[in-house]
Amino acid sequence: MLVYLLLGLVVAILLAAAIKTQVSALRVDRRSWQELVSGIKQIEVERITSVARDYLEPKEGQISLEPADMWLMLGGREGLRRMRENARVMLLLAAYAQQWNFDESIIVTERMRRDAVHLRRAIRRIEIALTFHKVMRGSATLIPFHLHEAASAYYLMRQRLLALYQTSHAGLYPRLAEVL
Amino acid sequence: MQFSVMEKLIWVSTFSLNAVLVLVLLARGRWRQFPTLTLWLIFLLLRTLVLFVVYLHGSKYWYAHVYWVGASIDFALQLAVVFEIARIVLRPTGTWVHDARGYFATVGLAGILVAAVFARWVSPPSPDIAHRVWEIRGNLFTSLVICELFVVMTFTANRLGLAWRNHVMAVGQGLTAWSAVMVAKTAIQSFLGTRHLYIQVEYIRGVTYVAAVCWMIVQLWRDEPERQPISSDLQEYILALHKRVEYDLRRLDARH
Repeated sequence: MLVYLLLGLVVAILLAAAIKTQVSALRVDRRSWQELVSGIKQIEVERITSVARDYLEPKEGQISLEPADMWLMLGGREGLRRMRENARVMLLLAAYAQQWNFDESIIVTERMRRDAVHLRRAIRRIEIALTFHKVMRGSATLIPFHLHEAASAYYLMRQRLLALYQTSHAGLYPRLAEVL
Repeated sequence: MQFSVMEKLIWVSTFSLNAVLVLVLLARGRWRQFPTLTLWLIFLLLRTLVLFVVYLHGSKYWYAHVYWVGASIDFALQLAVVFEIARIVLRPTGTWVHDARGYFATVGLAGILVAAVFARWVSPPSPDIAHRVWEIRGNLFTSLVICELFVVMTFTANRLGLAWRNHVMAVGQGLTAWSAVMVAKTAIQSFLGTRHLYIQVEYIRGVTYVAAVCWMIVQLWRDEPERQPISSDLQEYILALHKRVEYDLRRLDARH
């Protein structure tokens, strides 16, 4: 009987996943540029940029930025969640630009996908470290490194997307720069 | 072998609609994008014809042999169709999108393993016809694998922000719906065996396949709409922006 209970569970999950993924694919395909842009969550870009540049452009006193400050500058857990959601929308916006500038857009989108992988991985590791910090004591000490990586990946994605729109659709660039 | 009216109806509908879908793929030139799908459908047509001839003139033994050989080729071609759709969606430029291949392969292989464990583990109650047990096990394995691969592929594409064009979307939707019903059907049959509701559940699968093929015929007949470069709202926005820039430039010129 156990096998049928497990099979029933697997089939139910599979059917739910089949419906959910198809509906999501349909939504992605039908969304207009305006709808995509309206999906961008408000975020403290200047603060993220500061954290990212502290990591990407090392200068004298490069360890002066405290982990607690970084955490606040990125907006804590809510900020990280917003960064992850915005990264997803930025990818869709980059893919959307393929209709005007296919060659550049396809390469930029691929670069952004790689950034998004780093971003998601860093955020996932931060979440794991925060959840299991009592059990995995060493993991919490790595959070500042992951914060730097998350901020850098987000910053690079934003810069790539803005540069792509600057060259492929200057008309939409101001609106994009405004929301990002 | 005696077939009911409903079985014959589903058989004829499936054959006719498969033929129509092949004609649409060939006439509208869609076979260039979906060569494996076209090949699979042609194979299904040929298999139906061969099985029909064997049914009329051959023995039960030969019918079973042709059926099982056909089922094996069918499964291989179904896998090829899944990979064809994956190639279109996950390799838009001819190379795999970063992170797509690894994820698709890992989760896909894990799914195949799970399907194999379940197919071997279930013991459908079918004491009178021994080969039906293996038929149900085989169907459970293939349907779990195909459905799981479709779900993983769609999930991967959504996760990576890959948009689906209309034709591939229609094929994906049709085959996902059919494979999802197949999974439910084979799971029910593996529990109830061949005595209870076996034929009724087969009807549901048949009707779903007919509906899925109808959907694909309509969508593949239609041309994919060219995406508007920009919507009317955005055009107005850009025009307003240009006017504003021109106005500002005139003001600057007037000052100097």
